[in-house]
Amino acid sequence: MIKLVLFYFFSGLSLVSASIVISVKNPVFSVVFLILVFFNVVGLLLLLGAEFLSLLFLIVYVGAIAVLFLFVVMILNLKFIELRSSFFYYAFFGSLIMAIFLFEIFIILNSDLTFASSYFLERKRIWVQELYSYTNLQILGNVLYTSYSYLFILSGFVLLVAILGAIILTLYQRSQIRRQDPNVQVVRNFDDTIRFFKFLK
Amino acid sequence: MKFYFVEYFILFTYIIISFILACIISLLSYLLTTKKEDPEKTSAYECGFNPFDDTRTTFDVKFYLVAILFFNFCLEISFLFPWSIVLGNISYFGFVAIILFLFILTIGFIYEWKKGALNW
Repeated sequence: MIKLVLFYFFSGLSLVSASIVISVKNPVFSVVFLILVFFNVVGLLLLLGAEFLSLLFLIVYVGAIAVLFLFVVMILNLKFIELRSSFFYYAFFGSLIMAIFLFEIFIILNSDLTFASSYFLERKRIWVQELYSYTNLQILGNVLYTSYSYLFILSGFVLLVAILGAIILTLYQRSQIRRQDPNVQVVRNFDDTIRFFKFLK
Repeated sequence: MKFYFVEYFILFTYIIISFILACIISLLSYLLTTKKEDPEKTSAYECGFNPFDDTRTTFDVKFYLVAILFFNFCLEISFLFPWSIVLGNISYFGFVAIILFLFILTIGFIYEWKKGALNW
């Protein structure tokens, strides 16, 4: 009963705030409501029983991705956007992208995602038993680094690509500023640094 | 009710109480105070002169770079949490997997160090 009430609470609030995200005019407000959507979805994951995953989503999405969205809003210097002018144009492409994402989700749902399972094929996993005898973190760790290790290392490559892409896209060196060299600062001797001058009268 | 809800019930009551308390405080401060409109009150509160232009100006893209580089290693650490719990269960295969993962990310770290992305 409580679970059902909480489910309707979280899902309803997330739907309402998601519709506010695309309808409010100030982009900063829409980012703030996006954070509210993330919080509600985390509540839904918590209801499903995925404790670690939900808290990780809270850290990653609210702590990092929402901040990046705010940065994008600040960098692009958006003022109050015109809502009505290109609504149908965006609606067409938005529904197209939504259809692609839904198609991907339906593909993922039926596949097993095990590419490296042959190594651990002899160990059959009884998921229900693991759910009630281990903690949430242990269940995740037991399969993440063994059965799903291929995907795990692939996620490492994705992070590497993110680092490289961010550096290549945004790095530039300014020429005018004075830089500080840490080696020189650490090595600098006290006796050489302080010098006394005599005032000439 | 499943067992994992019991531990979160205290947190839930905490959130509810803080929500109600915030509502009460803002409502009372709206109802009980005297309101006199004044142009000086609504103007920007700064010492000296009035601000020249909007506060929403573009800033350097390097903040974004620092945030992304932080975010990658934040994710790396969050991948290490379950590993540290189940290290006894997952034999050498899991160990080698995470060493490979750390190696890949260390390549990225060396790249950004040498490229000077961490310097301003």
